[in-house]
Amino acid sequence: MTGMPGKHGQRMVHSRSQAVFSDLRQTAGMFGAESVRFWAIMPPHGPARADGGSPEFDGALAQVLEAIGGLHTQMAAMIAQHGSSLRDACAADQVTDETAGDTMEEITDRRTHELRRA
Amino acid sequence: MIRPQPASLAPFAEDWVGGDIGGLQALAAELYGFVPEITGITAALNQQVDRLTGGDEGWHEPAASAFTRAWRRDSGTAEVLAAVIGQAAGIIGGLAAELAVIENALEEQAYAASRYGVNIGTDGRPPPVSAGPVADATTASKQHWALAYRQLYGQAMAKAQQARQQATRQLMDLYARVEPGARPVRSKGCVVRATPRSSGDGR
Repeated sequence: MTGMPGKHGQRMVHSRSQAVFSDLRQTAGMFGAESVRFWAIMPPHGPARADGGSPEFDGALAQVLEAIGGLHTQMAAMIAQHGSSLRDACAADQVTDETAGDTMEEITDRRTHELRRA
Repeated sequence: MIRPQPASLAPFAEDWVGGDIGGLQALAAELYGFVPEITGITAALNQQVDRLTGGDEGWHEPAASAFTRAWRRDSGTAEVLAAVIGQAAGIIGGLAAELAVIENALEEQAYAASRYGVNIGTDGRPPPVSAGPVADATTASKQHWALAYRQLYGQAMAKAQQARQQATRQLMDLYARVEPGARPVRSKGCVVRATPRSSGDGR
């Protein structure tokens, strides 16, 4: 449910927006949770090395594992960032929708008042 | 989904050709294990984004298409990362399997030689052999087996070295695709580039 309650406890957000808000929130939450899962897949510096039996191999292995660890960390951060941008989009849309909802309520209230006076 | 695994190793009991063969195989298995975890997460998020932005009732604002484009790009990068991890696992597991075969052959030859009186060192090194004439058949047999083992030991070490060199080249090629500052690697339209990291992290 989105939008602040109006003076009469009504919410002026139409159902399509509510569905989108709900999906946006759910998706933002999912991105947040999955970024944590992604982060936990491997240690930040990549998995522990194993001795290959030559300094050349061990050096190449260390470089590859370090690069994999770095990319993994970046990807986890990217997923979290996408979650944040979805939350921002959700908040921005909610503000817009609430403003529209409040305006509608004001118009409705004013019209009701005028009709009563008439 | 079939989870890839490194090839099973030929049996061996010693550590004569060098390197931690079991450790290399375990590392390959660990790396293979990351692949479905990464692809599983990106697949689930792709599905959720499709649901969010699909259909008439979906999210269709300009911000939605910008988000979808950015996510698709990063999702593709994650797939490339998974592929790189799978390739690294293949190289490391392949070396482990090759070293195990060499170690196994060497140990079997050592066992055979020891039955003919050849004293093999605890590190697998062949004993010194005199190539001169021998007095009896037993000594001749021992000398034959000692020479044969010496030859096989040299070949085994050379093969192991060759296997390591090949694996090193493959890892370096792989690293060239993902190293910090490398030319962007494109796979399915995605770019993979690691961020430079500070050295001296104690590992």
